[in-house]
Amino acid sequence: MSPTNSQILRGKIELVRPRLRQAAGEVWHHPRLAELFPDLLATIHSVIRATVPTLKTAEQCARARAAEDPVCAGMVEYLAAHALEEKDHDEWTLGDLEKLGVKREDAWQRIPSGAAAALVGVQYYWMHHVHPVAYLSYQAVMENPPSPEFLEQAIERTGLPREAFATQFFHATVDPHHVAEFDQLVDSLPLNAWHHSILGVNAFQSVDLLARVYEDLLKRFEMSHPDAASAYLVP
Amino acid sequence: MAAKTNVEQLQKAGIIPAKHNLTLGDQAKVNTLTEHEVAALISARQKLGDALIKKTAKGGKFPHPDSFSY
Repeated sequence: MSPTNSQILRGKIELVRPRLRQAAGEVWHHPRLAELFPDLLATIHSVIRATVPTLKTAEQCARARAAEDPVCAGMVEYLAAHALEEKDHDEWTLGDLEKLGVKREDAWQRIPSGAAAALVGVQYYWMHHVHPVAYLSYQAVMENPPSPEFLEQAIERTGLPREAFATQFFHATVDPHHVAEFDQLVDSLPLNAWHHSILGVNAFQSVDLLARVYEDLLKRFEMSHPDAASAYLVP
Repeated sequence: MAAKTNVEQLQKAGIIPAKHNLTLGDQAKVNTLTEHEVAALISARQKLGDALIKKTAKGGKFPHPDSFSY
């Protein structure tokens, strides 16, 4: 049986996801995660503040081509609905930061890493100047739910308040449903080899840039905490 | 001369270190990639072989998040 569209896409991402897992692991298993965690949430916020705007842009780009392009036509409703589902998640993350004593205005004042800007910025290029289908590989890379068990361990390990993990727990609960919906959408689209190639190229690039976002976060933390040597705690 | 496979091209570029063997399944996946996808891997300098090995070595009972779950 031939693999489905979503299986093809996820198979490609799995080839490169180990690098991402390693970069993320350096952060999540850092011996000083309690101190690093506010920076992690601020970094997450620097990226997900663009989620609804990018979803809306993808929808607009797809809608503009929908009359002549069945792939675009197949994406429009999903993107519009998903933009509503993702509404305010960035605000929730700011709420989590407040539980750690970080003011909202301070989070907004923080200058994002160049990798975060590039990760989001390239999505606009693909959508506007190549094809909106590219956005789906970014989404497949980004929407990979955390496990509630791991989050429980992180709370225990750091001693941080559970409320600071509220948005993470929400994603752990809801995102598996989002992933199923996403796969259903991708499998319904009449993708050809050209579309698959675009999805693959953007997936590889997005994984690389997201890994760099984690690496930049760690470098920044270690520069501001010279005594915090990078020491990955093997689980 | 026969054209190089994707795996061979990625080995030559150092993306798949010669000393590490990909599983047959991963080799098959890699060999279905288009030239543009192979170029993207080379451009990002992603080490497939190294990374796959690290995944095995550093997996936990409960996997840590690796994305932002937007």
